[in-house]
Amino acid sequence: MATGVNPTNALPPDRLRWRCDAGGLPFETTADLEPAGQLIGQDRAMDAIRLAAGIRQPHFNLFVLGPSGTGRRDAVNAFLRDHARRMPVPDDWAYVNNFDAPDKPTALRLPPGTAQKLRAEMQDLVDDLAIDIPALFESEEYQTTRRAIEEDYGERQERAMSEFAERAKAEQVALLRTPMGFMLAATRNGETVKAEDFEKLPETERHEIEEKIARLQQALSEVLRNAPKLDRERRRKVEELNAEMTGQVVSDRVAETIRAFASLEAVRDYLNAVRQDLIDNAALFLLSAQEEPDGPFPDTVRRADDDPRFNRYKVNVMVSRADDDTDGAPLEAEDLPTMDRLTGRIEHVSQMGALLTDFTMIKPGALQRANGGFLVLDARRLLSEPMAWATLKQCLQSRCITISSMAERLSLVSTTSLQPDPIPLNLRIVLIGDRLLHALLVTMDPDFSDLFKVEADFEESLDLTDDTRHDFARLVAGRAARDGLSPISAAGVARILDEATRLAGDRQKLSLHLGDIDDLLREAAHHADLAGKALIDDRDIREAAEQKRRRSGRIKDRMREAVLRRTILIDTDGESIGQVNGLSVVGLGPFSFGRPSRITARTRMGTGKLIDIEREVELGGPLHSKGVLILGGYLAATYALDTPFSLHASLVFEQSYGGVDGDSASAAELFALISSLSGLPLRQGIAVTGSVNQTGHIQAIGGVNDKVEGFFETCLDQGLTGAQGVMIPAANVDHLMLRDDILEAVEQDRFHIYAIETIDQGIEVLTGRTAGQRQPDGRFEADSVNALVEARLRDFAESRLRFARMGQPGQADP
Amino acid sequence: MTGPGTPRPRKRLLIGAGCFADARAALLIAERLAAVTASDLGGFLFEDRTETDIAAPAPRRVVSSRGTLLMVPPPRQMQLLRDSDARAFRQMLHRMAERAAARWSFERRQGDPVGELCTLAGQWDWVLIGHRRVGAHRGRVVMLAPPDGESEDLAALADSLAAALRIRRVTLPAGPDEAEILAQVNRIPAEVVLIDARHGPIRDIGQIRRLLSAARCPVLILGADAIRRPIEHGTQIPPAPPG
Repeated sequence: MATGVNPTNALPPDRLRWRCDAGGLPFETTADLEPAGQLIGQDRAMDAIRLAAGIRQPHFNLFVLGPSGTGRRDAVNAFLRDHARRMPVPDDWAYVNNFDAPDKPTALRLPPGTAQKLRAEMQDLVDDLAIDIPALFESEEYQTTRRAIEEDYGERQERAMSEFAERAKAEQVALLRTPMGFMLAATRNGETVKAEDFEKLPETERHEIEEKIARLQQALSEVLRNAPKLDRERRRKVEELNAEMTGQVVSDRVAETIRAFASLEAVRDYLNAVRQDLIDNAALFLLSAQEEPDGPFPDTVRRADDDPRFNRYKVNVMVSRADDDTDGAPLEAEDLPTMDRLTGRIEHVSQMGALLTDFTMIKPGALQRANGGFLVLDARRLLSEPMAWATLKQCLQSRCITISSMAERLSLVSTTSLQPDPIPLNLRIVLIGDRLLHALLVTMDPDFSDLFKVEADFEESLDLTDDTRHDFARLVAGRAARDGLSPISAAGVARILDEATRLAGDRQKLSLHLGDIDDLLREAAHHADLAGKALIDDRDIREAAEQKRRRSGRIKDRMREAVLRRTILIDTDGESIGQVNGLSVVGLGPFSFGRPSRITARTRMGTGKLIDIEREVELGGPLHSKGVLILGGYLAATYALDTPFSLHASLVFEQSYGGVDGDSASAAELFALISSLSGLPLRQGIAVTGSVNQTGHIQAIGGVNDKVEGFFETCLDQGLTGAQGVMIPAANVDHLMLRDDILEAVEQDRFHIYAIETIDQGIEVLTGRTAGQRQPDGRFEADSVNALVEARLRDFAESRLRFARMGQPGQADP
Repeated sequence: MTGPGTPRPRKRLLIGAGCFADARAALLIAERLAAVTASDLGGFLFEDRTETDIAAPAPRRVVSSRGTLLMVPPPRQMQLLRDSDARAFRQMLHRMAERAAARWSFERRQGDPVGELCTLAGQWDWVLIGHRRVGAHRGRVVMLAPPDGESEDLAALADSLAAALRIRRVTLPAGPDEAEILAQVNRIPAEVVLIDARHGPIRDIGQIRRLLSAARCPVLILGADAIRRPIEHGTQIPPAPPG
């Protein structure tokens, strides 16, 4: 090595990435492969889905968790669609009028396909009766019978009045009509007696007249009072006649309908109620018939069931399926799972300023549509809709669909509303969400675990083996075929496998983020099309991957530019005391990149206080603060075993204006502290990433590839010297999937990757000096890094002691 | 109300009553006539204030159409009732005329309704005198057949009305005895009574008044210009010879 660094820590090029050998793939193009189904490597999740779909017990609802892009939704839909096809077609449901309590519509459960037939039959029934009943009332038979009743009661009334009139006339009393009613007046010779003449009559005659008039007034009063009674009797008789006449017509017609649904007891009961109501309300048909036909169509083609008066006989089909439905049970999804769209809603119409409703305005929701099958919902959307989650839980707990409006539940409006019969619920809910949501629901909602007993946790990666590599190739072939893309060469598949491994962030894994693989494939197919190729090869895949990174890399490029122009100070050459290059990852949605940050440490005598400047100004997150506190523990336990820890140190990420979190810089911070304490300069060409524990062991970190690539690009910009590299935790070596250009640089000895397990190994790489082990005498090796640090800390302790003595009375500086 | 294709003669119909309760019964009949045959509708409300000066035991009482005995209200309240009746009469006539696209007029006068209507009758083709009906039952269309044979107009009109009202027509044959006729009318539940004043047997005001009392329903008079009116004794003009 040109640098003189301990070569045992430097990784050889073959450990910096795994590369799929296209020659090892047993096919030339994906056209030679049998395409795989939906997923690979998701056996655990698919078993869970299979259990939830198959088990008939309630509450085995399914929560599908995992990150988006793993193909979980497609897989769930495909499996459930296939499973539902083998399940029985569920019953139809319809709401009909409850004639006894119209505000509580009756739910009818009907065999598949029957609801539509019943609706059509009821329309025909109303249409037929709209012709038959008016015709009946027009018939001579009816008119004659009714006339007889009218005349009978008319004669009775007239007889009473006639007798009274004759009696009054006989008693010489006239019946006068006034705006208020009838007035009785004495007459003489056919003329009414005037008041002034009356006064001239003898008193006895006056008394007789007064007594006579009073008596006749009472008699008239009785006759007139009896009139309403006779009217009531007459009306009753007419109603009986109407009922008798219409009863026969209605019964005959309804009997036809009952015969059509003879095997269904609920329908028979309903039709019997319809029959009675039709008889009671036969006048509706007369009113309808009296209306002039409106519009261009003649009366004969007018459909009576369109008349709102007959809404009471409608059948409001909530859900209906053909009895020969080959889809089996329903598989429904609701993309906007509001409360109304889940349970259904009751609509209203405005009439004269009032909101009115009836059972025909009940609209079905996703639960009704999916009843007997499966309903797939997005958990995040469901939870973000007001009251939707609570309503869904309530329906699942009660195992029936109860329709209520949010306004009603919040008492926001006061209007006529309905309480429809709840519809029994028998379906499997499938919620699709991320792991955080699942964890929150499990933790915060005590009902959740009772109602969603099955979880299908989708893996994000798959072990890389020969078998899985082949399966993955088949999966790629299947997805390309599904999307109508050209076949992919073996080299192209190998390149996709490389990308999948890089996406997994682990050379022993393949990413199962199939959405990303699909996007890569589609874009590569586009490049192949542009080039007029019939095959997608490795160059197209690489082009697609690089173009994607380039499109997302604007901010990364500007940051590189800032470093190159020394706006952000990063040294990649030379040495410096108390200064090291740390590495961090900037994440922008699905795109992330690494960048170096200068970390500096300053030390002096103190009282064992380690100041994390990021934390002091609230730019450091809790994990970062934890990492810094661990450093204090390491320093004290390693170097100040028998002396007071008399250090005051400050640590800072220079030119960091955003937040810093994570402990991946803790090793770099410790190296900066050791450098500051020992006075030994650190090589600025080597960047460090890794977290450290209190015993000095380096621990794995995330985003290792981005970090290495970020520092490599900085070095590239400032010029590769051959003394540059990145120090990573040994535990991260398996995660390395570095770019081709870095691999080439390492192969050419122009860049290095060091894997370290301890702080001591790292400090040796950074200082080029032995870290130093503690000797049997308790001291570190002379001139070693650790010996210098310990000596400096001991100096601090002694200085502190001296200062302490100077502060006490009677003590003098020696 | 005539056969299809036959041009309908437009008639001028006078409707009169002493109060709205009487007028309403007449207007319900008039509506059937107005829809097809009437070109002009005249409404007259005659206020006969006899209730204030007839002999009656104190306190004066009336029997409402529901049979309740009520005190005769003071004159001021009676006036309010009459004003209300007039407004209701006018409004109902107005609406009816609008529906029938007929001209209309309304007037309010004082006097005996029958007498005054018969006086005005010469200017109108038909006169319809209102009388409230007791009870809600449906009666019959009663036609008094003229002694000189059945009047075609009268019979046709009676038939049309019966058909429009969906009730039966009854024809009372003309007899020599008016009392006998009135006794029959008295016993028949009538919706409306039709007479032809030109052909009899009811021809003069007194007979019409007695017919109205006996029928206790509106009376429609055809040939109203032929109604015989009593001659005031103060005039020197001798009454017209009978026939």
